[in-house]
Amino acid sequence: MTNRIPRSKQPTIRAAMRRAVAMSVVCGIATYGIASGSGAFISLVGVGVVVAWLLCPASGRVAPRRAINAGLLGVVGLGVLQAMRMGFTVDTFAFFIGLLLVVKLLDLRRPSDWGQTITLSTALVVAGVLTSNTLLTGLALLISTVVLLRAVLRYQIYAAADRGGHDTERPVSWAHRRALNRIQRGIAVSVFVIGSVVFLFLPRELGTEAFGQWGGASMGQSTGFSDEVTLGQPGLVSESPTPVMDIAVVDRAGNNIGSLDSPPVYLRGAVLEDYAEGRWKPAPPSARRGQVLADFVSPEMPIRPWISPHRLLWDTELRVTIRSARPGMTPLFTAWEPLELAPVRVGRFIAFHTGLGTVQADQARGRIEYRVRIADTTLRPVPIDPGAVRRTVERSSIPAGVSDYAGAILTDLSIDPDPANRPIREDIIAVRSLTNHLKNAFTYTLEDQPIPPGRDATEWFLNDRKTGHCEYFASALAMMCRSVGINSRVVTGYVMTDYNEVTRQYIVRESSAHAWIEAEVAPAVWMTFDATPSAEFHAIHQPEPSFTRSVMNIFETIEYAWVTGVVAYDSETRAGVFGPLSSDFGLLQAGGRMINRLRFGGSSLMTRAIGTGIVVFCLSMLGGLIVRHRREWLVVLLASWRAWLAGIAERIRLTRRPPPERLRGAMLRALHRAGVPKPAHEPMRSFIDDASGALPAPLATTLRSSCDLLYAARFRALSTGRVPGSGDFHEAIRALGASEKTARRATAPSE
Amino acid sequence: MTQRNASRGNRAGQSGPSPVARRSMLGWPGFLFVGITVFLAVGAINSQNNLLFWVFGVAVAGVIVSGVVSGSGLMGVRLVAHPVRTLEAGVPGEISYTLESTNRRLGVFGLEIREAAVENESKESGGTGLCDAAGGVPYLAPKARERATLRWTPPRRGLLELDRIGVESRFPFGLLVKTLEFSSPRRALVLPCRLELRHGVFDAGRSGMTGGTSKRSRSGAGSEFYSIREYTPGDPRRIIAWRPSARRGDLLVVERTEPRSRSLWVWVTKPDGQPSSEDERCISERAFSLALALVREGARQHRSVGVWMPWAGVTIAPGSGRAFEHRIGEALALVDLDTPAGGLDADAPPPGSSEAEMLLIPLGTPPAEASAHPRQLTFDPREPSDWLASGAELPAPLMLQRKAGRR
Repeated sequence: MTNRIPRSKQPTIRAAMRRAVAMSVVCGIATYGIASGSGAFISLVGVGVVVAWLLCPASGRVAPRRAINAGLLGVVGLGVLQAMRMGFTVDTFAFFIGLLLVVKLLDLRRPSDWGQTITLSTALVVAGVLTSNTLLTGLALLISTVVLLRAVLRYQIYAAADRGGHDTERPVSWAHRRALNRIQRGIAVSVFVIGSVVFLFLPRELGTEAFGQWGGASMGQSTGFSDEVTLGQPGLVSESPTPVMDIAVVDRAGNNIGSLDSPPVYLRGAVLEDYAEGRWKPAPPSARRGQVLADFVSPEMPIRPWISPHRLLWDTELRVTIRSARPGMTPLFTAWEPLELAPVRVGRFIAFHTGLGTVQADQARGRIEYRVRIADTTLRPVPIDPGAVRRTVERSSIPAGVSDYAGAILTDLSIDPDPANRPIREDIIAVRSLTNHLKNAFTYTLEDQPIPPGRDATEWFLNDRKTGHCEYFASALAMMCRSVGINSRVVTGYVMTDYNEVTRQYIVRESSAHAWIEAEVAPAVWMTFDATPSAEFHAIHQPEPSFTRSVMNIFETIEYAWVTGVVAYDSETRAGVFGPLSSDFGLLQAGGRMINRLRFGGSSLMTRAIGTGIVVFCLSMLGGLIVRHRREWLVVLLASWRAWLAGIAERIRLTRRPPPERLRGAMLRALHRAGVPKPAHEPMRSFIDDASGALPAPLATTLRSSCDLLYAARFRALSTGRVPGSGDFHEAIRALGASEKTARRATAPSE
Repeated sequence: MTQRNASRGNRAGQSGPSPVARRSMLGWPGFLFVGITVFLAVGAINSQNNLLFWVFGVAVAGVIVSGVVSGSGLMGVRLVAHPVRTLEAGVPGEISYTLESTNRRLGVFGLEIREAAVENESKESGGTGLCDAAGGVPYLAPKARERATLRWTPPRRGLLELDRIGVESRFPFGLLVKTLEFSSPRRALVLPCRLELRHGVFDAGRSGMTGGTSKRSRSGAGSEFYSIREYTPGDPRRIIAWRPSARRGDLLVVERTEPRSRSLWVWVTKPDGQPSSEDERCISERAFSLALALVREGARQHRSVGVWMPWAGVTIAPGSGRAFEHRIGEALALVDLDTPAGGLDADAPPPGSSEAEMLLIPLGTPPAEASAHPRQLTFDPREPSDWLASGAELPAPLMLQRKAGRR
């Protein structure tokens, strides 16, 4: 294999490392910039990094030490100021790291400085992950992982070459480059696979929020929706396309009935009944009709928050996924009339208001999935009981201009504005007339104007301004309905219009936030009315298909898969993926019980636990140090124990000595008992020969023959007879014992 | 002195010896990385941020892969240490090795070689800086051999006993430092620092010295004509004088003269006790370097130079030649100031010094015989301006600490 690149253009170790580190810096800044969406960060830090790079690393220079120190002081000071102003948040941390990166690029003197640059880039990537979990952030994370891996590998080679005195400006061989690329691919695949396995297998929902909100990231929060409307302020107005919810619409048979042409569905969030000085807000709990009921609801046991006066069964089911709910009681958006509601997969604590039909769930944070069944009453006649009496509407807070305006409209249409004279069945006609008037005679705009002092906002809108956004229209219609004796309320939430044919789901975005009204057209019969001009409504919430829309749909499809597969991966998903393999054999429960015991067991238990932990830790450290540095102690200790244990085993006959050793021991004991102990330095045979005169004859004979046997076994090469076996030794020991007995009997004093 | 190399399998085609020990330790980046991994784990569990879970998984994978990759590649490395050439203090030298990979597929990146100097005979083990020096290769291909060098500047003379060599790698992530230790007993002799002496340092005019050389001609390979004689079998053909031989009709050879210079003795007198400070030790080192420089200068002038240091056990009669210079350098390198060998009378003059010239290097109070020698030159190591070449500077190891600090 030849190297196709000319030698003059072959990269050197140092050049390859510099390029890789530069790419890692770019990836770090890009990842955090994408995650935070902060143009200020990208412009400030990005430009600073480019300038610093051109000044120093690209030209081979470093800034003077004093300038570096001054820069560091400035960065630390700015970081402290930022933290004091905004608190210690991820944004503050990322800002500090970004500025530190700029200073570090001016101070690349030693190889370790390049390593520190990589570390700072990695910190920015982690900050991005802590900020957002969107698809783009995920893609940036994947790319950054590969780039950082590449940079670290090349940096390690460069640092080792520098420490070893190797010339880092020498061109790198083709074999080196190929081997490095190969190993880089292998490491990347291994890291991804192991990382994914850890991601999939790690149990979720352990110790959630034990340290507050730390670590959390947003993924399309339910912003844009507010439970208060203040005319004259932007309020619900938002043009952000950030998805908030995904909704699938199915019929009773479970068939998906969503389509591009379906009429908009109004998803109720908050009901606002109190109006004062241009501001709508929920009525105080004491003034609300109905009551709040709360219960733990499971997927198998749905709640029925509203008994339809139409006595209808549900015909449409909305399967809603809120991507990231705020912690605490969060509204569950439902269409009117919600007949049945249940969470999906996991039970939740749900509260619903019987009068307002609003539903809330107690949610830590993150994704919420639920299904709500509704009945479409648009084309059905309004059920009016004979003799029904219209509920009295409080009209004292309605400005005079509004009443006059509404009265004039109805009078022109031959509808009596006085509720005392108007039959109940004409209320729905009156509301529709007022709605159509607003749609036709007024225009829609997102621009806001300051309300003239001393004027009511709704009255000013009706009589003078004639243009405004959805909140003005809703407020005007609600006030006009009340002025003619029809009970009404402003409802805020989202409108569901954007259908994705690929995912077959509706995407509700922040820009879909909307306000409309519900009017009581008959006693206990509420209907939805939207006074926003149709043309503008469609322009905002149902844009025409275009190439851009198609591309956006594809992107949102991928993002939906990202959200459901990665961001929303939880213990239920894990159980669905692994099934029985996801069981932890009760370890989690045992761990949870232990943690609870420590938490509630009092300070003494905690102290004992901590003390035990410290003792175990110290003993482990000591043991480790001994093994590492005093290995010979262990060897000696083990050897002495082994000898001691062997002695014990020998004494209790766990291990038997060889037969010759046992015979020798028996001979020595026999000599000792006979009163003629053998000195250690004397050979056995010569001692027995010398001592035979002092020994009883049988014993001496047996000892001699035993000695011959012993010598035959020990000095086999010198013997001429056969090699004695263990049986011979056993026989000799037995014979020795017998001769000792004989000798004792012989020497025993006779009676 | 012959340098021994105890490494085995050093011949071409054979692998080097197997490692005698393996070590694996977590470097400080590794500790930092583990701390950050724990931080990520706590953050992920606390927030249920799935991307953070994935980042934690990647961090754990990094530790696992780091251990596997670094260990598997390094285990196939073999090392052969070459004999160490004689080094000079203050002069950068090289220690060479051959690295070989027995791996079939996996190359090894970022190899570093470090020596672990052991106790040496002259007890100069501390502060040599050898353990901090490193050599290595950036890449060792499978089944390949690479030569590596460790560049090191010995700070002082002496004999280093080298044995253990560590080959370490921090590849791929720098978290773990894995080391293979090889045993290869070698000796590294470090000669005293090289000095550049003043031109004409042996000039006459200084006390008691008669300069120049005195020729007592004798037959030799010199440049001057000495005599013509008959050819003797065994004489080289190049000394045959052809014209006289043709005139006479018989083979004749030319004999030339060899200038016989007067011998020089370099006498380094005994110091007054053991050196009690670094500066005194530095002065002693200067004396040794100066002695070696004088020997070299004498050899350059074709003179026989001997070294007389009976208090240190160095008594080398005048001689010449490269091997002789090396022998003197080795002897000076092995002098131990803390426990000098001794043996002979420290004040006794060198044998035959009455006929020779004396170059006196007084470390302590010079004995009367030295001072009274009729043909002696004194070179005070405390006054380098007297003998150091103009424009030359003392090597860093020979500079006093006070002056070194000002620099």
